[in-house]
Amino acid sequence: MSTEMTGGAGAADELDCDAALAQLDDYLRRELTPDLAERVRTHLEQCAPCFRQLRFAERFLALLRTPASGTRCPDTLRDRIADALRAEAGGP
Amino acid sequence: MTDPTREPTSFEREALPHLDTLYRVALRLGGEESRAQDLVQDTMLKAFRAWSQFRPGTNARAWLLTILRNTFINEYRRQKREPIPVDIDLVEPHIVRPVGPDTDPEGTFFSRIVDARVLDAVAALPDEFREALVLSDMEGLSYAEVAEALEVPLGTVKSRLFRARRLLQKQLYDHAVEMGYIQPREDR
Repeated sequence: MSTEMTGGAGAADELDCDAALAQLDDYLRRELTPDLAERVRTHLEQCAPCFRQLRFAERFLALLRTPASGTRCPDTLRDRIADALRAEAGGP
Repeated sequence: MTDPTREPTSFEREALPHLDTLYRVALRLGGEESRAQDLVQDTMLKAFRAWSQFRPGTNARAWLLTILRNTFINEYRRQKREPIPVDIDLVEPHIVRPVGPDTDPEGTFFSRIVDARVLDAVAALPDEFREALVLSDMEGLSYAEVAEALEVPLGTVKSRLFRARRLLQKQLYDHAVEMGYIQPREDR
């Protein structure tokens, strides 16, 4: 990793492109530790290609979220479950 | 229908709000509509019977999803065709950029890919990858919740997600190239 440091004096905590790219999805999902998130952010501020890749990753994750918004548990199933639960509870 | 004058039970308050999530996850795990419905109903009945074991204040959604998944694996999956076993470690973990702005500067890729195609590609993922991706990226659970629902360590969730996303991007990319939506990348 040390041979591919991008710019700077090669501070020990600086991420190269591959390391930053590998974290992009977790970064967008806010699943990185604050320290690592900061290092990714620093890299993105200095690296236009990686920043474009971030936009891409963002759209990909958004694409995955869309189908969920349209699909809901059907009312017939809700009623069936309510009936089954009532029967289970020994209700009327 | 439920008597509207009656106070909702704690089970109703905690579990019923997650029906949409359970239903969608059941669809993505099992595929077929009627089986997904049966799976959700079985899950809710089991959860109701086991409700005394649920610790109030902990994550009901992850708890319900664990029951759903275990029910699916034990009672539903084996009725299906046997899945092709995949050695997860053989799936290339280092494909960092199967698709990206350099291959698709106009962003055509996203505007042309329709939801149905995404769902098909998700359905084609190996089970371990699919369940992690469905819970995390489609339903929006945190990685910790996914780990709880799948009963695996957080690191396992992370690596499965990483590979699932790359596999999915690859599939969607291949599809987009095949349909002529984007030009194939000139590979090095």
